[in-house]
Amino acid sequence: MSFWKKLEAVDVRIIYLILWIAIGIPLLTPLYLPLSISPDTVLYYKAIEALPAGSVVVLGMDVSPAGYGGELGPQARATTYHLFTKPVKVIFLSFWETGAPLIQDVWKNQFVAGELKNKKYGEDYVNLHWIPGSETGMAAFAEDIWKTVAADYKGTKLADLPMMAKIKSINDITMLIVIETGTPGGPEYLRQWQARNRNLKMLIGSLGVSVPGNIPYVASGQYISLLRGGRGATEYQRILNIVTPTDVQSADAMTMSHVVVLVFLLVGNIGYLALKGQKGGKK
Amino acid sequence: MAADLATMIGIYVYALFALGAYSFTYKDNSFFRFAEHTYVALSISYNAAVSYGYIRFTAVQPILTGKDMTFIIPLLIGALFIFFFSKKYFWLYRFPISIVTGTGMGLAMSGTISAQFLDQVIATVRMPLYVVDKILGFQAMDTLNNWLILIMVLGTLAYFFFSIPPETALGAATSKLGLIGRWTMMIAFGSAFGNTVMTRMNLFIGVYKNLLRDYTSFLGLAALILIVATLEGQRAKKAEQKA
Repeated sequence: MSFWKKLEAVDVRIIYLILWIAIGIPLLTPLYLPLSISPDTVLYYKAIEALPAGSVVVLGMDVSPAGYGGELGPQARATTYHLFTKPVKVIFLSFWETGAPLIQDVWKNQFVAGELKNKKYGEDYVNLHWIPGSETGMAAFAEDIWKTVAADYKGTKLADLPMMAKIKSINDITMLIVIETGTPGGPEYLRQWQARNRNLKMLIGSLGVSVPGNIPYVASGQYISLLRGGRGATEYQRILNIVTPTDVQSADAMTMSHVVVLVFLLVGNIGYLALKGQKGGKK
Repeated sequence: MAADLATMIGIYVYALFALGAYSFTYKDNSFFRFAEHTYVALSISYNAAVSYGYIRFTAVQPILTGKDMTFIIPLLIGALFIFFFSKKYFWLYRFPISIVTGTGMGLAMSGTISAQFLDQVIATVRMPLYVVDKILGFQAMDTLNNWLILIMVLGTLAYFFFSIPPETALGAATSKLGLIGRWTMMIAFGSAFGNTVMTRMNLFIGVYKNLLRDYTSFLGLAALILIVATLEGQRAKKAEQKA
C-alpha cells in the first residue's frame, strides 16, 4: 500500500488528536502570533466612535450560550466596553431567551465593569431582558416600545426609568448593534426595524459561519460593517487595547487551528491528485 | 469554603459534560448520551420556565389586577395549543397555528421585499464600475471587486435562466455565462464551509480553555470517559459477534 493510500485510510480520531494537541499548545503557553486588523473591524470601530453624544444605541444580545462561549462573548464584551466609553444611551435586550441572562455576564467583564462605574442604571443604560415573539416581537417593539415591554430585567416599570421617557419607538433609536447566533437576527431586524426607520445604522457581530450570509448587506450599505467571528472579536479587542493574556492564548489557538486545517486541506488535495496520477488519471 | 466547593463542583460538572459531548469523536458511549439528553432536557425546561415567567408578569398579572382584561383573548387562543394532543379536538389546535403562521408570514413578506430584495437590487445597480476616491484617486482594487460582483451576479442569474433553448446562439451564450455562475456558487459554498469550520474551532477553543483551568478534572474525567467508551465498544462488538 502506497503512502498516499495509507494516508487516505487514516483513522479520523488521529486527526482529532492532532487538533487537540495543536490547539492545546498555545492555550498552555501564549505564542504571540501576529494578527492583522481587517478593514471591516476598523469600520465597526469607527462607526461607534462617530456616534454623537446622547445617541440611543440598542445592543441586541441575540445569542445562544454556545455561540457566546466561542465567538460572540468577546465581541459582546468589547462592544459593550466601547459603548460605555462613549456618552451614549444603551438599551440591552434580547429576542433569544438564552441571550438575555448573558447581558449581565457581559457586565461582569473586568474592562466593562471598570467603565460601568461611571454610568448610572436607568439614565445611561437599561436592560430590557428577553422580548418574546421573535420577528413578531421585533415588529411590535419597533411600533411601540412601551406597549411591548412592560418592565426591565428587575421588574422596574419603564415609567420609572428616566432614560426611556423619550424613547417610544424605533424612530428614537440611532444605532442597532446585533450580536447574533442565528434566527432571529440581522435579516429580521432589517425587515422589521430598518424598514421602518431608514436612518437606523446597523452593525453586526457575527459568528464565522454567518459571515458569507451577512456580507451582501454590508456591500449594499444596509449594515455599516460587521465583526467576523472570533477573529473579528480579537481584532476589535486589539484596536480598543483591552487584550488580556487569555485573549492572546485564544487568538493563538485560533490561528493554530486554522493552520492545522489548512495543512490537512493541502495534504488531502495533494494525496487526491497523487492517487489520481497513479491510477492514470482515472477517478 | 462553601464557595470553593461550589466552584469545584461546577468545574467538574462542566468538564464531565464537555468531555462527554466531545467523546463522541472517539466512540459513542454512555457519557455522550447522558450529556446529549441532559442538554435537550435543560433547554426545553429553561425555555418553558422563562416563557411562563414572562406570561405571568405581562399578561396574567394585568388580568388579575383588573388593569387590562384584553389579555384574556391571546391567553385563550394560546391555550388552544394543548389540543395538539387530542384526536377529537385537534381542529382547535389549528386556530393558534394559523394565527402564528399568518402573522409571521405577513410580517416577514412585507419587510423582505424592501429590505432583502429591492435594496439589494438597487445597491447592485448603483455600484460604480470605475471607483474614484476624492482624496486617494482611482481605486483599482475596488473597481476590480465591483466588476467581479457584476460578472458573478449576471453569471448566477444566467445559471438559473431556463427560458431560452440552449440550441440557439443566445441560449448557448447564456449557458456559457451560467458556467461563471456555477463557479461563483461553488466559491460561495466553499467560503461558507470554511467559515463553518472556523466557527466550530472557536467553539471548541472556548470549551478547551475552560477545561484547562483545572487539570485534575480534565485529565481524570477524560481518562475515565475513554476507558468507559472503550469497554462499552468492546462489549457491543462481542454482542454483535454473538448475534
